[in-house]
Amino acid sequence: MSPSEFVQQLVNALSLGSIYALLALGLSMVYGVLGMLNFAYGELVTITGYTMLAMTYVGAPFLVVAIVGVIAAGLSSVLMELVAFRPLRNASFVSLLFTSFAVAQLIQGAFRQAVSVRSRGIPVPAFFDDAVQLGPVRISVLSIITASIGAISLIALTTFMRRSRSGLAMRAASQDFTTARLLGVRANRVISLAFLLSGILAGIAGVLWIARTTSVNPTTGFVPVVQAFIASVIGGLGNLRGAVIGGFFLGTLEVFLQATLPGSLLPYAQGASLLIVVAILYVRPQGLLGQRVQAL
Amino acid sequence: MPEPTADEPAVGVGVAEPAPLLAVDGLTVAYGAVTAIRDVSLTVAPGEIVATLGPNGAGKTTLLRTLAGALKPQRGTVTFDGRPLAGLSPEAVVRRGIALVPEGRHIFPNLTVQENLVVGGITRRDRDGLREDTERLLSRFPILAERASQLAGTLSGGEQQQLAITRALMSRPRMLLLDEPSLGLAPIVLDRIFELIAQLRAEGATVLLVEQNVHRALDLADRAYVLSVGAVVASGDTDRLVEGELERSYLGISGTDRSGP
Amino acid sequence: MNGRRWLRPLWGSALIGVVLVIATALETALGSTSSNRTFVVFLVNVMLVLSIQAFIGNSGIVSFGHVAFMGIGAYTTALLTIPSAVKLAQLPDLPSAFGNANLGLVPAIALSALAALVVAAVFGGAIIRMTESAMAMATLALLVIVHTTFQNANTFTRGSLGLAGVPVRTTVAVGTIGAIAFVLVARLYKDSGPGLRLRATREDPLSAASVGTNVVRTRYASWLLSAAMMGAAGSLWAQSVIAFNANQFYFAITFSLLAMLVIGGRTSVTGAVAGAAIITFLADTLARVEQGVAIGPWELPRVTGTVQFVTALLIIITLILRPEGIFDRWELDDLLLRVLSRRRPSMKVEPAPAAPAEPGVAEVVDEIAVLVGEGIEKRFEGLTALAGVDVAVRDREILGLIGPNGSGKTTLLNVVSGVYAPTAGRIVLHDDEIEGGKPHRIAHLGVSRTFQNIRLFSQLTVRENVQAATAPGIDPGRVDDVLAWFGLQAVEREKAVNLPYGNQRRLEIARAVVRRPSLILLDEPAAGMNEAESDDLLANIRRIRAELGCSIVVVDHDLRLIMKLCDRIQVLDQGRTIAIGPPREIAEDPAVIEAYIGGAPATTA
Repeated sequence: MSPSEFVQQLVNALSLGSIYALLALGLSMVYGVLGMLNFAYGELVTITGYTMLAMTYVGAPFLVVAIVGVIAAGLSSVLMELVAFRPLRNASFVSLLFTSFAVAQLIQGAFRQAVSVRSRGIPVPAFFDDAVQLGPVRISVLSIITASIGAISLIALTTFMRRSRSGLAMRAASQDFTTARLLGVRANRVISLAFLLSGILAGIAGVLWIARTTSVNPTTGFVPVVQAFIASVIGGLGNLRGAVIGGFFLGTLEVFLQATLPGSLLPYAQGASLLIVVAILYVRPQGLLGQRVQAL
Repeated sequence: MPEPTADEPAVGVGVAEPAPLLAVDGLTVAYGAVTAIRDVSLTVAPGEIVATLGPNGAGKTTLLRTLAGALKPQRGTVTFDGRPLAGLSPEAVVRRGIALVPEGRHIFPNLTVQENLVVGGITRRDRDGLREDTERLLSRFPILAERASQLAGTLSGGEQQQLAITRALMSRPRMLLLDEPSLGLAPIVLDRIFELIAQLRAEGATVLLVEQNVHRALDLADRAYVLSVGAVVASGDTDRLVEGELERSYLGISGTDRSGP
Repeated sequence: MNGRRWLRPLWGSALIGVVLVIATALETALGSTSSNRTFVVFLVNVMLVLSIQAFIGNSGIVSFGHVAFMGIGAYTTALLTIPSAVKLAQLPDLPSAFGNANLGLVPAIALSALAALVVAAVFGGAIIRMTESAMAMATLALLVIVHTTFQNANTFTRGSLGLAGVPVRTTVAVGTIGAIAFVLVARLYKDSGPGLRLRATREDPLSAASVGTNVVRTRYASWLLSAAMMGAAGSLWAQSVIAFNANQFYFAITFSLLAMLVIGGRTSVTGAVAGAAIITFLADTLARVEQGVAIGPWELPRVTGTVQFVTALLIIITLILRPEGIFDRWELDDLLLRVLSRRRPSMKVEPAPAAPAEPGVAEVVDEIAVLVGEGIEKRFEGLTALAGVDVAVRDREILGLIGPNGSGKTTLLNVVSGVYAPTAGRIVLHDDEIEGGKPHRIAHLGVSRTFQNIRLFSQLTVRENVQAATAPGIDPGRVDDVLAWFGLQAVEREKAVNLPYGNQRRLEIARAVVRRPSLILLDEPAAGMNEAESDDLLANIRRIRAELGCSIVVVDHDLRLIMKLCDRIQVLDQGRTIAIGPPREIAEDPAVIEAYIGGAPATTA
């Protein structure tokens, strides 16, 4: 691989990686606070997509389309918790996992019925397809935008978590929920906040994903979210920094495998990257940044 | 408050006993198959320090956790400042003015000292007051001030205990519940902690304290209750509770003699 | 093996088998071709869901990847049974080994199971040490990896175009036999030694390890079994649908199968069968609705996705109302027995046999050391729980371990039993060095223990709790003896979680003695007991020592009990030993009193 190609792929990796990182972060955030893996998380991306579709029909400019999409994801996430997960607040991990699986199917089914099974195209600004020439390197505008927005979102979220009182309350709750409540942190608010933030993250990731694929169908959210699940596990479940690292790691792995695998093996890129992840987990079952659990 | 002299009859409101700040009546708490406390009654008057003593397994921690809202009682009532408290969620209990310093400290290990304190004051809106309090409390424990930006998990046991108490004070509680503050602390640190508690009382706070260290508890508190296997077996002013009796009930050397001297 | 133990799963399976046979008979007599087809779908679903349940139900770990094994089984069978001409027309590049193969029903099933087993062995080896949530995610990865492989390995699978021409061998009869066979395997596994131990790990992995279960190995075995079953079921599936493609082994069918489990009964074989029936029937009915059906005067439009939608709703409703599924943990035989028996077993506990009179006569304690620990240290982040403790437990001795809160008593027990590895120090049991050993290994060497917060296998019966602690090959009457000894036979079929507190404590100790350990560690056995109860406990502990000839270490705060019971007492304070000796000495030792009551303040008010 030539150096300029390497740089191109690196930017691609950062771009795909930031989408995965945003999603993995959202997943880990909810896991950290509630101890649940939300299988319906991918549906938030789908919801973003269909909202964008609707906004496009209304004729809104892309920026507005994107922002409304993100808001829709955030609100849907909060609603999801309120309606589907709160009644099962004290249920076991497995029950919550199954519930979220069911919710995912419900939403998919709803879209299949309400809109269509088929993919629907979403127009994106033409300049997304352009490429910027920096010396010998050609970098797609979309990659730059994706990586930048991804980075900005992550920084914004980190700042919020570090500096704001609510963010601090959430971090405290994910370390020790009972003690946090004993200091007056309101459980429901913290949980809703976690869902709101993770919903927004899914929305941003969704917009960026749609910008790449320019279409939406009932299973749109599924593909990136499976990757996000794996990414959060590599990073160490519940570990926010780990989730981000895991996301970038998986994105990079996928991009470079796609760039280096021979043509006949190309379709296996995703599978191969997952296999590598499993191998890593074999060596380090707790993930890259996870706490070592006493093996039994 | 002026004491009535021999020829002055005790009259009316001025010298009446203050209504208790906290009144617990017939409290019974169970979890799982265990009845941890049975029919416990106690009171804490405003400005008092009351100690709950007793060997482990006696139900002292269960009592505090129930008061703080982490457990729900099966039977009995709890009244704080005239209003019922039992069954409220922990968040609501804090907002009524009770703060718990849990056994084992439970500081947030991956937050800094400063951040731990902020969480302690999460129920308050007055930013100036919060800042003042933070400064004041940190100045009381220079070690904490020094380590303000350090992760709380890296502090020593004694420092963590100081942090836990300071954190609980951030909500400006009217009553402080302390669960075994002496656990794992060196005597010098204990001195400072108990000094602090006494000082808090002087400033008008009310404290309900669970302690294993009988000497210190009796020294500090105004009154004490002794719990054993979930029930109150003795109570009274601390200068009247006989230490030898207490020792015996702890070590069980002469068997469980429930009739007092 | 105790023949008696196999009776229950055998006739329990027979019951379900009878129901299936009746259903089959009815279907054969009254059904149409299309309802026959649906019935076969139902039977195959039974086999598929029972395969998944063998792992998920017994281990409590969710696997999203089992459909991968179904696919492997299906493709293996397809490649080995489709008539050669038809096969080569679809897969011209197929190696001749496959191209010429034309296997019969049973060999196809066997090889399919084997293929799945091999993949499961490799993949499972990688993931089995992960935490439960991570494992669930890893199985998700498995599903994706295998799915991608199916879609792209055109030489073997023809990807999305799929394969056709698998001979129809899964008739109603074959399906029924297969379903009953799977029910039998599922029940036998569930009630077998490994199955029971696995269910114990589902309840409390630490506790299970401490009674000798190798958690990782038990889970792995279950993973392998269920994968093989899934491969076999996939084979039968392929031989019923004739044609299939790569897209089918993905989330739709995973969802459907998990739904059967969740709705019917996560851990109950009967429930799984019922779940299969419900979902199959639902899918069949709704599929017709989806085509657009006329109900009376109304014509319903075509509605896609109804099946998933309704299934999802049912899952959520079930999880809210009956989290373990409709059948919860009940098998058909449990229900039958419940209905038949007029009287419930009485909850009144028979009083434990009276302790033989041993007033103050000390059991002869040999000077031989059973356990020697030197310089044991245990540091956690920022906290030193044990700062260098020596301990020696003599043969047949009852050693009391006391000290104020936070002195390190429970930590010491945890280090000895393998829950923690010490930061430093040596621990020798008989002749084996055990420091840092895994809990189940140490249990095998002859150490057993109880826990401060009772860690019983709550959803297992009293009998099962004790049974799960036995080693394979142990004398079958042993469990009965132990239950009788502790006065627990009357309640042996009660779930542990329903026992009153005193019985729970007893059960924990019963579980600890069943292996005839040489060292028993009791962590606060008298917690929450009144005087009468702790006297009872004292007598029991003495009797255990007399009967087993073992040594016992007791940690407790009931000093009255400790003083009466123990031969020697070791006092810890702040992670160090501050006194050790017979009870009389300890009671009068000022340092001990000081440690407990606390020293006088440095400054007096």
